[in-house]
Amino acid sequence: MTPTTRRPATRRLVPAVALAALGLLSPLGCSTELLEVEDPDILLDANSPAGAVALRNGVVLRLAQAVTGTQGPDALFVYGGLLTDEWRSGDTFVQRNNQDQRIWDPQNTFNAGPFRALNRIRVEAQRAIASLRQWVPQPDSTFLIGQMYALTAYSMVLIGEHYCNGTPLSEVQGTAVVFGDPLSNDSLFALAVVFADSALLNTRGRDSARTRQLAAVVTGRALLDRGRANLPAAAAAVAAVATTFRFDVSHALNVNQNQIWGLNNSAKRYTMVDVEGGVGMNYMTANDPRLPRATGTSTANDLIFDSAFPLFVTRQGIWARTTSVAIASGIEARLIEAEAQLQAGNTTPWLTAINTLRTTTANYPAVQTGFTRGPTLTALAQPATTAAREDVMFRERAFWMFGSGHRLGDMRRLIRATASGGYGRTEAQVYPTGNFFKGGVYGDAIQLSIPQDEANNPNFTQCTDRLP
Amino acid sequence: MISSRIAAGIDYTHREDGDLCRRSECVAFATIPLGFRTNNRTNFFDYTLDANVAATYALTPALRATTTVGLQYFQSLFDRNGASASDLPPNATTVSSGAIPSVSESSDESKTLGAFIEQQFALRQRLFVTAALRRDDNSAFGADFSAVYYPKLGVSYVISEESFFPRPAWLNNLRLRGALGASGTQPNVTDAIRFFTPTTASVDAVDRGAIVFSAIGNPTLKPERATELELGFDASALRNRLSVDFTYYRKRTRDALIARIVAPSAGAATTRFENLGSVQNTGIEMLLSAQVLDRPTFGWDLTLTAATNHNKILELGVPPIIGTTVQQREGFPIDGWWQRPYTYSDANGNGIIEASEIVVEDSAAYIGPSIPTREITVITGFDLFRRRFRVTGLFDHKGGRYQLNGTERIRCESRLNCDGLVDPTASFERQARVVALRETAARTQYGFIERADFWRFRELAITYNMPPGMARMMRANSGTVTLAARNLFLSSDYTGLDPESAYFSGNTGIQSDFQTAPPPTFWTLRVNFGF
Repeated sequence: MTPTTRRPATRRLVPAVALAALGLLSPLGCSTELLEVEDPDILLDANSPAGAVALRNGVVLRLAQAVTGTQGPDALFVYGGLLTDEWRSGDTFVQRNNQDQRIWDPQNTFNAGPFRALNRIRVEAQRAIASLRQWVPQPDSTFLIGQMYALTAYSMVLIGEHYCNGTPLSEVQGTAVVFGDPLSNDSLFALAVVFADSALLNTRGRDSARTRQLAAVVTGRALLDRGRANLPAAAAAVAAVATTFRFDVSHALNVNQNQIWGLNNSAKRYTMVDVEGGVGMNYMTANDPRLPRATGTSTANDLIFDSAFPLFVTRQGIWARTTSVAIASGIEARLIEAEAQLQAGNTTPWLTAINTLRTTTANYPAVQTGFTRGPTLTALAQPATTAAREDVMFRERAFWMFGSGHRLGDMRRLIRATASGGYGRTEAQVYPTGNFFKGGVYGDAIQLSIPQDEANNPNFTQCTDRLP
Repeated sequence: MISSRIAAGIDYTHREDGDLCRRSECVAFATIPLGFRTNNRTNFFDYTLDANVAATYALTPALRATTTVGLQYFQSLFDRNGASASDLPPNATTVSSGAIPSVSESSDESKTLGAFIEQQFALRQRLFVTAALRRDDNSAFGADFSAVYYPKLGVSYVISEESFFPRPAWLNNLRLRGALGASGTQPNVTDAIRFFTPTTASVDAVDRGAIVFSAIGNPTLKPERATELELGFDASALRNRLSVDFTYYRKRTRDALIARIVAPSAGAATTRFENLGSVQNTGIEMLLSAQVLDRPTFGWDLTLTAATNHNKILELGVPPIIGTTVQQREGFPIDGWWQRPYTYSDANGNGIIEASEIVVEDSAAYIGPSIPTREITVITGFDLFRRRFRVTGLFDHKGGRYQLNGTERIRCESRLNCDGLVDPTASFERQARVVALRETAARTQYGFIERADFWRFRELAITYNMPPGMARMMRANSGTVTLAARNLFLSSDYTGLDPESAYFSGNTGIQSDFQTAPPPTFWTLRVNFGF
């Protein structure tokens, strides 16, 4: 073959190949349509009245997940309670054991869950507020907006009470993360008061009374946390709250089972503890009607999960699998008022308030099947000293609000310097110390560390300090 | 000459996953004794269309060319319905009989449309030059990103055929080759999308529809793009009884798809995929095959493969990404191990390392990579007794990798039964890592991140080739019997049970050892007949 016979063939091939190329490549021009996919698992927006209400419902779910829900890692009420005298780890997971042992460890991988969950309440509530304002007719549904503000404030109070100073609050704007700067606990409490104020300004509509009382209790709690000088203002904030009021996180079998029941009563990874570390409350031996409980006796069914330490589990009898958990209540309001009376030196009204709560059996939580309640409480006599009155005050709070995320904030207030608005107790007087039951000694953590993952916020390095 | 090829197909897989625990028949933990039943049904569809047209023609008597254009379309669809229920009545076995039913549904779909044009030139069947350009578009790309183009250039030269090449008598063939090309890795289906998830919430004790914010999204997300340079040669010698393939590669990946941890204070998803900086992998790959002895009654062959890989983040583009034990930092391997190191000494001479005798550094330091930097496999075979028997052995080596000995860590930290804790005669090194973990404020896991090099006798196989008469007794043309054993011997300084006790965790799937069983030693006997 010669080149002269080959060239014409080559020339004939060129248009054929070009035509084929055009034919093959032509779909690329409409690739956008061709590559469209639908994913029914996700929603790209919630732009409708029903969508706005669903976003609000989502915040309620985030709240449950953060404090008592089963989804994801341990929620705050149980995990934070390990650091206090409320719960003992019955588990093999080192993360729970270290928390119970008061080990300060930002690398504890259980830290990030509740911290992220609390911030989800805050961030998603702001998104729900914007959506409710845009899509849901006002003023009838204003209470929903007020509720979102109140839950935002509540999440800030929980973060301030449980975590060290220097906590950032970041935001998501569109698809951008706007990193927050470190804030002191006190700044968080101040912010919470502001958001609770916004809640109080949005309390018209069907469920307005409940929203208003929630905001009031959150305000009182935040002011309590800001120091004893704020107790009069805290008492004033909660004055209108009915003693019977309670704002519940509710649970359901298919949605969000009660994690306190799940981890304590069912899985036995948590157990109640009596006088933990020599200074904890005698939650078990007090036989208090506010805290029904039962210690197991069967080696087949009642030992804690960690078989290396075969202790019988002590189960609480307040919450079953779907029992709601009160996160704010009228009882809390009365206790705030009582503490204000104590602060003012009005010891008689203080004791009256305490005893009124104690002797009103309607205030006691319902007892779950299989548990018995201790005898009805009697009125207390006036303690002889201020310190003894303070002991009573905090003991009453501990028993009335067991397992509801209040105890760690109270323990921090107890050891906070009096000049800073605290009660000036020593750490050893309040926090468990001495030998830990699984070996070693208790550590020195008095609050939760900000999780190591927060180091991915360029504005954050570590806790500003670990002061109470 | 023009040739064309069109291939279209559908791969369909249906899978059913079931789990049944009758009431009172399962482990006594939590609500499990109440019984549960799960029935999940999943469909996988993969649609493929691959079409191309090639034209081969001679430009000169010595130079031939081939032009190929092609189009490829892939669609992957997954859908799953799940049903489960717990609290079953006695002897019940169906989902519908459970007192607490739940259902779930999920689906994923992805599409890729690609086209390419390739031009190849062959000069005297010795020098081959190939150039190509590929365009890909994918449903997972971010809204602000359209398509990606991948060029490629390759050269292959059989230099030993050239008259000027001074080919020694022992050399049979030598081919030099080099290639420079780009490729990409697509994001996952929803990685680029900001989205919400519908769910159910218990609102005031009533189950209601809810929407939660699930993913921040990334509208600029695009494929990870790798540019790779390969240089190497293939050679055979000694009457083709020895062959060597050698390749040096340098692969630079830019816009690396990295699951960046989102600070929890943002109240959003745990991670978000971002195109971050660039990563470089360099190394060599080598294959050596030799027929060492080749006699009628006896043969010995040897194959050695070796590869090295050195991985480094060239540029991150964002501040370091910090995980509990793994960090991403410029100048260091991706997913490298980082922990706060310590020093120790038995200052009081009592033979026990105490917390006061340990000094932990203030910040985390780099320990080593989490993936091997070298891998070697040696396969050798012996043909015996007139080749009636063949004995083969396979040896594996992986080196340069570090691994978190999570099993030992949990024993020391939680179970309190590791030798460094309970045995006063344990080495200072073993004692120190326990004390540093349990009793220092740093709680550092530094001592448990260990070098995980190993050599393993991976397989021994003995094959008997049946004489034709024996095979015919089974009415077969041929027959073999093979007895093989896997994982016979391990040599490693790793202090855990086995450096291959693989446990994958986290978004990156970094291998660590956490209460997982090592590869078992097992024996197989296999009989094959050919008909």
